[in-house]
Amino acid sequence: MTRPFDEGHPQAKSSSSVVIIVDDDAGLRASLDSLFRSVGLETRMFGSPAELLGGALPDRPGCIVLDVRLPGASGLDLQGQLTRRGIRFPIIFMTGHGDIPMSVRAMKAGAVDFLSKPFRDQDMLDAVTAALERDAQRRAEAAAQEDVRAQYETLTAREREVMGHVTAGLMNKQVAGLIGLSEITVKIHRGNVMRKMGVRTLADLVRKAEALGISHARKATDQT
Amino acid sequence: MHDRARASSAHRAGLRFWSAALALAVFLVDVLTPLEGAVAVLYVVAILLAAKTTRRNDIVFTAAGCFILTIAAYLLSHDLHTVASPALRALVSLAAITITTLLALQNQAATNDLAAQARLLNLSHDMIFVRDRRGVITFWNETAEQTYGWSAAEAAGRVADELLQTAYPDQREIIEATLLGTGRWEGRVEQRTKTGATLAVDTRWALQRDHIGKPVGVLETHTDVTDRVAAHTALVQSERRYRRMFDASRIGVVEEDWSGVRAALKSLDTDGAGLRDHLAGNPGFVRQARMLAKITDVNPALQKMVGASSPSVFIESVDRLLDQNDRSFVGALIAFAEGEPFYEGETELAGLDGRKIPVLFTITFPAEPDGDRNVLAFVVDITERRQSQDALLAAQAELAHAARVATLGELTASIAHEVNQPLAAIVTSGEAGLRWLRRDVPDLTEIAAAIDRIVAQGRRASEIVTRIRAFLKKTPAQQDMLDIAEIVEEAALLVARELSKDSITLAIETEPGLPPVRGDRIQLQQVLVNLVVNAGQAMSGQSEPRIITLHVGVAGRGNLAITVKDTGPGIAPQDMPRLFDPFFTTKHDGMGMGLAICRTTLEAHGGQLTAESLPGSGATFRLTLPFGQELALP
Repeated sequence: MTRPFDEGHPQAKSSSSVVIIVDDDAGLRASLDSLFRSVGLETRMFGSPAELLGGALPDRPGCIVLDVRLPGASGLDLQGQLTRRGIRFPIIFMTGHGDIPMSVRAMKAGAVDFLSKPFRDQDMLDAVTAALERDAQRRAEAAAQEDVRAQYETLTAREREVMGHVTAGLMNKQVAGLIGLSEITVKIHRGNVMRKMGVRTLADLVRKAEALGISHARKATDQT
Repeated sequence: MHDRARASSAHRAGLRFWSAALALAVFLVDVLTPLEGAVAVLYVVAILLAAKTTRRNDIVFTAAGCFILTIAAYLLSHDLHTVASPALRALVSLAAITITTLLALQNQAATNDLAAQARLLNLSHDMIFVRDRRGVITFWNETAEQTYGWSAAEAAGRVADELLQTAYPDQREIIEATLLGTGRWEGRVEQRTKTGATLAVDTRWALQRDHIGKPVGVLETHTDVTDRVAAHTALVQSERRYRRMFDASRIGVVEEDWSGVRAALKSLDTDGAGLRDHLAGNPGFVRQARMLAKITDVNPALQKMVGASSPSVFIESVDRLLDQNDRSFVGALIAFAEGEPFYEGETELAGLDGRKIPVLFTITFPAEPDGDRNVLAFVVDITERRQSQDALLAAQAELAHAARVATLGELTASIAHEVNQPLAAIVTSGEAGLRWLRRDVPDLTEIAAAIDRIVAQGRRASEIVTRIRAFLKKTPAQQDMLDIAEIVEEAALLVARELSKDSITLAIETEPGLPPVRGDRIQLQQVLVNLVVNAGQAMSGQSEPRIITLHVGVAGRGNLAITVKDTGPGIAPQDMPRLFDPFFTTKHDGMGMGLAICRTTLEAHGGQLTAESLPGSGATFRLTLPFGQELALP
């Protein structure tokens, strides 16, 4: 495993990431803040779930470091509320001793890591690194999918129809027969689709179709 | 007395008559009969009769009459010419009359002296009688008549010992021998009166002797001391009774002389309040007063109490008897100065073996003029009572300790978390500090901040541990002056994490300026922790609101009141009467000792613990404690 925050590489990570600390204990909050900043991470601190939910969260790669036992609502409750609001930051839970049932529940609910207090700094930083990478990846994927969708939006209804059949593996001739067009016309439509979707090969087009979840073409194939 | 005078005067008149009659008879015989002889000599008899009246005038008158009659008879019978033998006989008769008269007059004078002496004896308040050698009464004075009941006539001729049934303190023969040997005897005897009453009599005897020294009689003088003896006997008995109480009592008694203390107090010249202040500021005076309060006697019970073999060890001052840490003497001193009749208190005596003896005492200050010299202190040894009380307190402390352990056991998870928090902060700050240090350019500001956090969090952890250790400490109950606000705050800190776990709000309302209370910090803290944890547990399963309101204020005169009110389901009416019973619990894993111990603890502090509840609208526990009275003096 790579250790981007090892002593030799204090500022290895992009400063655009943010670590959100939620703990009611001011002392621990300040300690975590110091730790994260010492490796060049930006932090936000909240004393309670209510503060977190009340404040504006940055739209940047980030993660949440959260105490399982918090006044007001528990860390698990907060996890649920964030999910319902569509906030997808990965969560690293901190816990005291003897909270095993709670850790199991947290992991099931999608926590990326679970650290017992007091934890080793490297463990915390590793967990944060992993969470940030995961968030960055998620964001990248989300962004990529958004591009494909935008390209897809530019297709005409007929072009989308042709794309569906082509990505389902039909020959131009089969597509022409299926939708009652000449093979030439189908070929033109197909050329437009390849151009608008920004792909050169059929394989690329198929991957984009899968990302978009276009599946009715498969059904059409089944019907043949 | 009158009768006697009258009788005596009639007797005298009779004597005069017979004397006159005899003189006349002699005259007639002398004149009318031709008897040759000194018939006139018989006039002597008339004079002697007249002398019996013991009146001088009677004798002189009779003598003169006889003289005249003798001369008259001579002149009638013989004329002046004859001077032979008849004249000689007449002269002899006249000489006899003259001599008899002179003797009678002399005798009369002597008798008068004797009568005067007898009157004097009659005037005496003592019973006086004279008896002869055989014991026969010959004289009996008026006081004897009145006291014994027999008249002089009745008593005369009786044997004194038989008449009076005299009981002697010694053998009669020995007394007689003493009388003969020394001429006197005195002693106390018992005699009976005519009515049968018994008299106690002080008696003095004097032996009378005749001119050749032969004993002829005894003069007995008696003083009736019956009343005096009775009074003395009563006094002796009373004295004996009190002595017995003093000697045999199990209560220690100390007789003290405080006159020196009085003098010292007078020299101070301060009034009541001034005196208190003065004593508070001058322990030296108190010490001096302890020296001035002299002990005059201590009874066997007190000697035994302090391990002394004789009272003499303590015939010194109160200072010797009281322990050095005594605080009661000041109170007694003030009571004494203010004229209180007594003062009660509790203190410790200094035993001879160095042991301290806890005692209750009452000291009395008699109001009579010489009362300061007769101050009495009654002392009861309460060692055994103190020991059983101590054992009870120790058992209560044990139980309270066990309950504290149990209470903290319930809070273990919260406590572990609470201790872990600062430790986690310390570790993380340390690691962060190292990272700041190892940067290419170490950031000293960040490092300093990290170290500051480490120090602060280390202290915080230590405080938590100290708090918990104090709470779990097993010590005998203390009697300190306590700031209740502090105790409430500490109790709140102990339960804060437990409450926050269940999102329970603890609202503390403390009225400002509350006086201190006296008692044991940990035990009172335990009561509050218990009540708050109970309230929290009552609400843990329910939805909002979950609020505990702890109010600290004043209730009535001189009492502190704390209420712990929750918004839980309340107490079921059927549980109410048994709420404070030991082993009564509604929790599935409860021991049922918490509230019982809380109530015992408060009662040991002179307070109370009560509960009230309207089912559905929470429960309120209310405790009261008396505000502590600071002991005025060291």
